[in-house]
Amino acid sequence: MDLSLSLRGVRFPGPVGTASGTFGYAKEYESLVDFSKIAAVYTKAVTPEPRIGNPAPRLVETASGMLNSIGLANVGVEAFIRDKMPFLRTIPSKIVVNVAGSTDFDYEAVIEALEPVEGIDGYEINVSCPNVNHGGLGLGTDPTLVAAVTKAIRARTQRPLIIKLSPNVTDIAAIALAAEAEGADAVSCVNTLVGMVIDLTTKKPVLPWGTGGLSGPAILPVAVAAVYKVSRKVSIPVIGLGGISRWEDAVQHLLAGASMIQVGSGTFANPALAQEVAQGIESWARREGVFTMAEIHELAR
Amino acid sequence: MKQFVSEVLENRELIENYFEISFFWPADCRIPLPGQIVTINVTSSSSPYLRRPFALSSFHRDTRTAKILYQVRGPATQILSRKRRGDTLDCLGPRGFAFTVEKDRRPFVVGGGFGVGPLVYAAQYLVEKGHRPLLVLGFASKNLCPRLELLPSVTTQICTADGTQGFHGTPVHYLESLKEQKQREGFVWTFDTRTKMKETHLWAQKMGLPCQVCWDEVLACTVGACQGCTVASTNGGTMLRTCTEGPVFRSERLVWT
Repeated sequence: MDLSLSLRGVRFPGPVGTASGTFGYAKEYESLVDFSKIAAVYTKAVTPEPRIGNPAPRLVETASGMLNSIGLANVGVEAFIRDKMPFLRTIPSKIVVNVAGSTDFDYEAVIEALEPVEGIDGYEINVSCPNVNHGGLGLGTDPTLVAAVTKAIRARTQRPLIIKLSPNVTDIAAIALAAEAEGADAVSCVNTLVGMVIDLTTKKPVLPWGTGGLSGPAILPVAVAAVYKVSRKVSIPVIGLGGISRWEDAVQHLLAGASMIQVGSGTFANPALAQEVAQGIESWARREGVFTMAEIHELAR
Repeated sequence: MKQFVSEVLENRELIENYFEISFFWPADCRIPLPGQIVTINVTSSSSPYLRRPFALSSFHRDTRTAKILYQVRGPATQILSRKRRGDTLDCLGPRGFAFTVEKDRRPFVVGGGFGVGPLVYAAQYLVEKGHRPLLVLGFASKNLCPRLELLPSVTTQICTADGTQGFHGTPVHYLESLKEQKQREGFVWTFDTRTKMKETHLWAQKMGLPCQVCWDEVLACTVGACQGCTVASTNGGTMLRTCTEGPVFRSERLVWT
């Protein structure tokens, strides 16, 4: 059984990763998970400066899901390198650093700081966070802007470069193609959906900026549709995420065309979910008589 | 902190809305200190989606029987109230900073509502450690006050808003009715709604007493990874994680709205 994926010479030994924002900087889960069963950890988004994040409340539960409005709270790239990378270097999982920002300068500044740092296996560029209050859904809705960011980062690194796509767009495949054209090695598909909960007592939205990002099983069909669409347009690998709470959900992503998947908010209720999904995918593949990702994709043709 | 699946031993209704669930606490998992939380995933289905924080109301060392006295407040506690002997309980804990004792002062353990269970646990803990806590619990009315099994050595004052049992008024009204000298001798542990805890915090501030609150906020990961359960601190607007820097905080550290 070989479900590995190589991006720009970096071999990810299996198809399961933990999604940015849901796994902190990995150390938080040290006593609860077996890192040898998790192929990749996508870190919490890193910005040039530390960010306190949004006011409380930052979470609200929804039917089979949740909204978050964390606001990219993170320690900033300097403290990330100094305080978080040491532990990240000790785990067998591949480390993909999620990079967030609001201008070209932000992204480039973070990449430049991270380039000399050992133990980083790739970058996932967050162009799609719906929670940063700079007046829009982020530059992830504009293929021209995504192309520009991808190009600028591509020029600064030889490491695997993954662009994380927003589902809050009219044509997600266009965004994916723009990223591919400028040298992205893969796209991850999808970030959270924009959602809102209104409190019947206060008559106002629960979250401070009104909307938040929707995660959970409720979005699985949206994510699978996006993976299906994008994987038929680009030649680079698609990393599927969104709504995975059981191995069967991950298999849907793979059959839709994903070559790897990420487990996100599902980890909150079940910290062992990533390794359970990894086991479930493998057992399923064996039952289907397939042993590589190419053969899994063949099943769907 | 461990994740474990336990088995429900008993789940009984004390009074309308208050239940007490008993379950086995594994030998290789530390016994929670007062104020620490254990988060429970009440269902294997996707709704409710998130774990919920609880704190123990009692722990019996010989049998390692843990109890949680909880209030039914929403869909998750509804599901919890329907669990029967033999059903599973998916637990993650203990977690967070516990209440701490202030030297040379008398403990006032104050609150009500969903705070009752953890405050009973706290008061019993203090007695076991040789202190003389005053447990002050507030309810709207006599028929909303569950019968509590407390060690006789815990001095308890029930307060009701309508005066149908115990002191007529809130716990803070009761505390204010004590001799000023007695008030100033104390330190406070409190757990209740935010409005009530703010009232307690302001009284403690006025009397110059150290005050610790147990903060209740929606949480997701339990382990400090997601930054979702935060509360604003007075230190330059820094956000503190309820599950990691809390759930117990010195009351003056928080921004009260």
